[in-house]
Amino acid sequence: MKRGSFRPACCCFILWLALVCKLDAAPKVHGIEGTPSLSLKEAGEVLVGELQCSNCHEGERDDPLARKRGPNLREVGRRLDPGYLLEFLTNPHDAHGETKMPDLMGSMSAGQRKDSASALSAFLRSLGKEKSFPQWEEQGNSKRGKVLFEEVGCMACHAAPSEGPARESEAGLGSLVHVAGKYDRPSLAGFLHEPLRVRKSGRMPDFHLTRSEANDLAEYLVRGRQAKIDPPKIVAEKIEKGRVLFGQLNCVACHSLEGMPASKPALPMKNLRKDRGCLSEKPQGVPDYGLSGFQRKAIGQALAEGPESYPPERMIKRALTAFNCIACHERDDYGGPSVKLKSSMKSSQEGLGDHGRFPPSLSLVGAKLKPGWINKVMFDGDSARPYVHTRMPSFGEQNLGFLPALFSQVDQLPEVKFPEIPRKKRGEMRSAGHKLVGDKGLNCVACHVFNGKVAGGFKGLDLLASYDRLNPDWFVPFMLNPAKFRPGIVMPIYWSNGKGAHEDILDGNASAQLHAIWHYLSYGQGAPTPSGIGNPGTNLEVADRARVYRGRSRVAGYRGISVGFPEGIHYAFNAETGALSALWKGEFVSVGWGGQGAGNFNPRSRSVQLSQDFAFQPVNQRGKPWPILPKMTKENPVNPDPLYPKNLGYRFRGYSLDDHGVPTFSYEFGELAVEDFSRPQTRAEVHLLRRTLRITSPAQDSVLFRALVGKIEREKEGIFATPELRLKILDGQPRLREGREGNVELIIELSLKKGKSEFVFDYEALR
Amino acid sequence: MKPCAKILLCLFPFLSPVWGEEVGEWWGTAERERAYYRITEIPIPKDLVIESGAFVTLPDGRIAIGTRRGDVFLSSGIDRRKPRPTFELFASGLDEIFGLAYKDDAFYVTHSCELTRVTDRNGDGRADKFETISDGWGYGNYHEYAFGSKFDPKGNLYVALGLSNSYHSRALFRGWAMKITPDGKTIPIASGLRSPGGIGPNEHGALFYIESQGPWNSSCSLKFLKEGGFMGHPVSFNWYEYAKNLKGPPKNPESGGRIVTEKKKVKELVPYAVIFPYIRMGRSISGFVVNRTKGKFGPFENQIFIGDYTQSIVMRATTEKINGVWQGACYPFREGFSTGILNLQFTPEGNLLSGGTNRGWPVRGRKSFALERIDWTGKMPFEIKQVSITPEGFSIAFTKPVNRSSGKDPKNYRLSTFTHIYHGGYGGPEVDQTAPVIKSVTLSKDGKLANLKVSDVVAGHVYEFDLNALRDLEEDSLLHRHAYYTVNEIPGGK
Repeated sequence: MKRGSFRPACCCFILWLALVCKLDAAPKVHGIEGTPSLSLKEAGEVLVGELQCSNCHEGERDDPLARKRGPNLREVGRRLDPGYLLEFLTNPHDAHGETKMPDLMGSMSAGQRKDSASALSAFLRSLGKEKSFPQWEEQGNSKRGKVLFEEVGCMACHAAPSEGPARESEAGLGSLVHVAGKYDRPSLAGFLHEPLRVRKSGRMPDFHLTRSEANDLAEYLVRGRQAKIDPPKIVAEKIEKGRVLFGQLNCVACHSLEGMPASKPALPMKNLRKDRGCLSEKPQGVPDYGLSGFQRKAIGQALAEGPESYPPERMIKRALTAFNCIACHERDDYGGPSVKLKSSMKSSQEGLGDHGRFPPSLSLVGAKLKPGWINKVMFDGDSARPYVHTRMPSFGEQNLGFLPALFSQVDQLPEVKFPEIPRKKRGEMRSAGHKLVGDKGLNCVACHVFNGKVAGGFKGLDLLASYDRLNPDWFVPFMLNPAKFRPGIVMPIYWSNGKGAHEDILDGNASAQLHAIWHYLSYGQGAPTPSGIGNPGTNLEVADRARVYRGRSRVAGYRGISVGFPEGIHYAFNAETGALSALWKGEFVSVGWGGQGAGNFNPRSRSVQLSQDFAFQPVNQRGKPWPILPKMTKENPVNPDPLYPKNLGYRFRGYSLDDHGVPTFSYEFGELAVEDFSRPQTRAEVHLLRRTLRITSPAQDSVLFRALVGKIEREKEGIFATPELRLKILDGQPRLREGREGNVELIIELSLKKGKSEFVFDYEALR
Repeated sequence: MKPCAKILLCLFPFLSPVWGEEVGEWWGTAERERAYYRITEIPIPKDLVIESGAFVTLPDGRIAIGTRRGDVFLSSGIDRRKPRPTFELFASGLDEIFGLAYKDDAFYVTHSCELTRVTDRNGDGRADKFETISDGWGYGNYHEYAFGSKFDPKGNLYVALGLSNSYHSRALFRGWAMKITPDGKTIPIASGLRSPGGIGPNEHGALFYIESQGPWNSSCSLKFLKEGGFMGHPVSFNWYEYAKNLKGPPKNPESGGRIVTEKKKVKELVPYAVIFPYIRMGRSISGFVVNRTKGKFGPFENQIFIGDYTQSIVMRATTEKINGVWQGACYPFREGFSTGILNLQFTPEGNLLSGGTNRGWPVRGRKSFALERIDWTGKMPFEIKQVSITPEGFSIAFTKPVNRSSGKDPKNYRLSTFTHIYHGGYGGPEVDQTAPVIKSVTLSKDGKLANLKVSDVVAGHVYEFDLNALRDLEEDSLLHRHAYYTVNEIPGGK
């Protein structure tokens, strides 16, 4: 259907169709039809802004709401399907009935139209650098894409792609049927990931999709399209003709391009009249927007009445309408999701009711939220409600940066000023707040997260964020009667008639208790965790390869290294002394990653504790007491022998991992270089740890190795046991001797060759 | 000295995280700052916990992040306008990383137990060799953190070692700084550290570290780490017998005096180069980095950027050497970060990456960990660029011309001073306040430099400038009205 050539017939057809099916093919400007929030004139002004009339017709007043720019065309050849681009340029209304781009070639013959579009297309496709637009190769998942489409908020403005043009039942929704012809999956994903890059005016906002989410959503929207967008072919002649046309048709008024001449101004806004020029029923020789009757009427009204300066509340309403914020948010008596949209809005905390499912009301939002927080939510992608699946998108600070200040100006509640708390009373107030928030008080933590931690009930708004988000002007009256501000909220009233339930806390005085909670929350991270919320250790799991984790531990000293095996037997190595200091079966370790401390580790089952002393001595020390790790006590906390065991010749050199993640520890004892590695050995349902010492010596030598200390008994040749451990000596000359404190020491003389010698020991935990 | 009740009240705040304290309000400038420097959150995938403690940029442009949980992640794409970077786990299982350097395909990781050289020998993208380069210090208390530098031009690395439990020195060289040479020697170079939080060169290449407020430190400060020097806290003198390269311990400083008088008696004592007035300029300053972005980060080239853990803010500092002693100024820069900042790093595109966590101590920001990027928007803020000392007073450089009528009026330059008591109590008040008289102001032709003649500049004092009355050519006030200059020496031998 070529609109230029068959226009009269075509118009009749469309009129008929519009009457019969109410097919909406005029430019889609969300939020102004079917919502009574704006007067006809204001609707007209929103349209003047959305259609960028002022790019050609200079106005008397700069409307901050007016769109300033059409899409950035610099990469258009990489982004759009060439066939679609050509069709769109030939007649924008045929390609996408709801486009805001006017038909600029109404006065051309069909042939001229076709040639011009082809030249323009060649020119546009020649722009931009090779590969300047992201081309993502990963496949998307259409099913996940559909869920995103339905949940993140696309449906606030768009009908599902399969549903065709919007019908009466969902008036106001834009159609996406053209999308599969327009984009391929990678180019659409790139656009969805960063819509403001191409469309700076922010009408299609940024939903903070991850790359894979953008891929999934794009896969869903292109509906199985396989065809890839080919890189453009350069036809120099056509390009030049297109460039000239681009200037002649005044495309630059809305699409700025480097190197193009400035746009040509048309009549100033104040000289425009309804039903003339672009506003005529059948525009001739001027841009044709395909306006609906309502739209022409509204714009006409706006032009007739002329600009006026609006009070801030009206500006807010116009902004919330122009950006269609009102599709999701209500404010006072206007806006809020449609019944259909409500049914698609999901929450991961259903127990919180509709207030945990719908985007929050904007009534009194400027009195409720601190300006810094509004900025964070509107422009930095921050969110206080991770459980609401609908996302708050970013419309761009350059587009809506003026809005937060208007909110603070308009929304006012009686000022609440907490009196300064005398220093002496702060402790009492803080502790009262702490008690009230915890499960021994009002149990706010039953429904609210505290500092990212959960008491076990619902995961409502993080309480710790309150002080950063809220104004006291809101906090106090809201807490006294939540439902007054948010009808239907599940949060109960805790103070009736100014009395709190906990009379033992600050005499049950409501304002004192509220002050205490506010004061307590003002400590931010310094606020102690309320009762009811725990801080468990983190269990480290061992998957299919060995795992090494370093940290202080009661079983391995401060320079401890734990080694976990998939076989379910684990050990700890004290790097400060080169000792295999503990082994255990079952689960690996739990790590303390809360609080100030570095993640100390603890075996998750009872471990067999071995000596943490350095285990080697020269043979000439045979008769001497074994040198042991210095001990610090409360009375003598300073290390009395800080160089032990370096002063005995020990140097830790580190470790390397094999392909299974198993570490080999390296250390030195004088001139000897030791490689020390242990692996699980399973033999007849017995779990062993086989330790190998590979010692490199510069000469033939012997060295003493203290293998075990404790209540040792010789079970048989080469096998020794304590009540907890059986040690099998496969090499070397073992000898038992008396040690300290009634313990027996198992000392083995290892004979070393020049070069490498290897000694193997099997450790079997007996429990 | 008058005993001060306030000091007793704030004894041991870090020992009792359960009853934390007020973290202090922000400067209140965030809404204006965002026009010039934007904070962009770097999203971290849901299944990862990245409590950044150290950063280093690799030759290929990736940024390595060392974490408190002991992981090293390699990240690509942090600089993208809309960042959705990848995080590849390169190494794990290390012990609280607060230092990361890179040389010849190897990472040099400073963590609590040691300095480790970490490499990937088989090229599968995961570390498989962990060589101990230095473990030449004791480690016997969880609070004994170790902070590592990048390589200096001679290939040395430096490690700053916190005290035991932040009050004692019970394990070898706690409260010392160590130099680790390219051939692997570990050399103790200075005693007297308390609770360091970052170590590296200043903008002139001299070795600095940051010190936290506490005993012998009434505010946090940047200090010159002098070889053979004593950094102010005498509890670590017990290890001089293990530092054969140094002469015996310095004379014990006397508690309750002023550092300017004590440094005359204790010749090894190095005075605070830049004092960060407590609360107004941070409560636990942390990692710092020098801006060498060639203008990509705005007007503050060759200046020190420094984070604060408690207040989740970033500040600036500049230093100069006067009569052989380092001193300088600090300036507010940006507030409104989401978590406690532990370290900073400039990215290849000249943005500033900040990272940290709120684990363990009170923090203003509300996230338990975060990575954020600060980008210059290209708009020129009206800021105090730098304060320097002159024989007669101070010179103040601005980023934009000051309008002449406001800039020439001495009344528009408000100046006050204070000093701290140098003592063994925890923290301490500002004392000996003075209100110097500004005798005259000369404004340079371009309006960007004001020379102040000031009556009676006193060594040992912090000079606090409040220039709120100044206006630029657009009649705007300064984005931040304050600067704080620490005077140790006055040029011209006064």
